[in-house]
Order: sequence, then C-alpha cells, then structure tokens
Amino acid sequence: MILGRVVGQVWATRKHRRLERQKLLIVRPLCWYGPDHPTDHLVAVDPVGAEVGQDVVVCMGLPARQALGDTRHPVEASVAAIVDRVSLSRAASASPFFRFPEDRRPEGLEEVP
Amino acid sequence: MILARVIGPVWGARQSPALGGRRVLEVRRLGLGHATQGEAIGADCRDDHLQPATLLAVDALGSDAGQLVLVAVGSRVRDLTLGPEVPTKNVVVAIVDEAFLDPSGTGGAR
Repeated sequence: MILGRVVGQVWATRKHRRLERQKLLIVRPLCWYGPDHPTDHLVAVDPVGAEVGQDVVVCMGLPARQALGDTRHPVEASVAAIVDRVSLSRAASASPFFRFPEDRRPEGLEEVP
Repeated sequence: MILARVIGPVWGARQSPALGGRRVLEVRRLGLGHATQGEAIGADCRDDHLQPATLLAVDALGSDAGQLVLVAVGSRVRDLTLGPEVPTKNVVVAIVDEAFLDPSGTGGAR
C-alpha cells in the first residue's frame, strides 16, 4: 500500500467492461514506491468516494482487486482508505522512504518520539 | 494504471503468433509537471505534458494515435484482459475522454 494525494479524475467512455461505473482517480504518490514504469502519477479505481485534494491509501496488485470485491477486475491500483492523519516515529521520518517533498506532506502529519 | 498518449502502432513484418494479430502501440506516459491547476486534458494533451521515454502496450480496445489511454500494468491484468498467452505486461484498458488535473491537490472547482 502507498500513500498518495488525489490530484484529478479520469472519464472514459470506451473501456474494459469491468471498468464500467468505476470512478477513476489520478493519484500522486507521496512517498517512494517501485512502479514498473516510473511516473509522477498513477490511476486508481475508487470504491470509497475520495475527492480531489484528499490523501488516500492506495492498494497495489492483488489487494487492489480484493479491495474492489472481485479479483477479476483488470486493475492493479485501488483506493482502500481516506487519510485523516498520519503519525510517524522520529526514526521513520528520518528514513529516505518517508522524506516527503515540501508540497506533498500528508494531511495531518505528526511526529511521535 | 497509468495515463499515456498513443504515439502510434509498431509494425513488424513477423510477430509472435501468441500476439494473435493484436496491435502493439508505442505510448508516452503523462507527467504532471507541466499541468496547471484545474486543467482538463483529453486527446489534445500537449507534448510538454508527456514524459520523453516511450513504452509499448498491447491494445485491447482499438485506440488511435493521439488518444489519451489508461494502461494497466502486470501479468495478472494481462491474463484478465488479453489472455495468459499474450507476451506483454502492458495493456490498454480504457480510452480517456477527459482527465481533470489539479496537481497541487488543493481541490479545484468542479
């Protein structure tokens, strides 16, 4: 799972039939992960109802399909939760994985000892 | 999944029989770096919205050059769309009408 910020939405008429009536969100990852084809965005199916500007937890791979309730959906990213706040230990926030860019700090980030 | 614009099909005199005559498309990934707040982009997506590197994807929908598409990545997604025998991990699963972008994520009007 990764943390990301919703930065947009996608509309498509022609699509795989299993994507019908699915909301597609453009998400900007807030911390490093290892995508096959690096980009500054990913598109995730949203069964939760997140909105632009909100921070979300995105499931990748099989869990993404499980979060949609049907593992036959041809997707590899879906929104599992909307983030209220994030607490990080001081040790974790010093690690490169959680070095958030200034404009992409998670909503309600707090450091705990 | 990632957003990308179709550059065009890749033609080969001979192709793997496992491709079954499906089109292989050269696509360029979208980058949010040049997008402005509240921008809506579709097939008119400008070159500076795209990353320079290309990648290849197999088309399951019949998309054309210039269209913005959604590319799903992974062998399981390939199994579920094209079939397990098709030698690719990148599959076009949607042709995008419009994508609304708000790169700062501050919540644009819409």
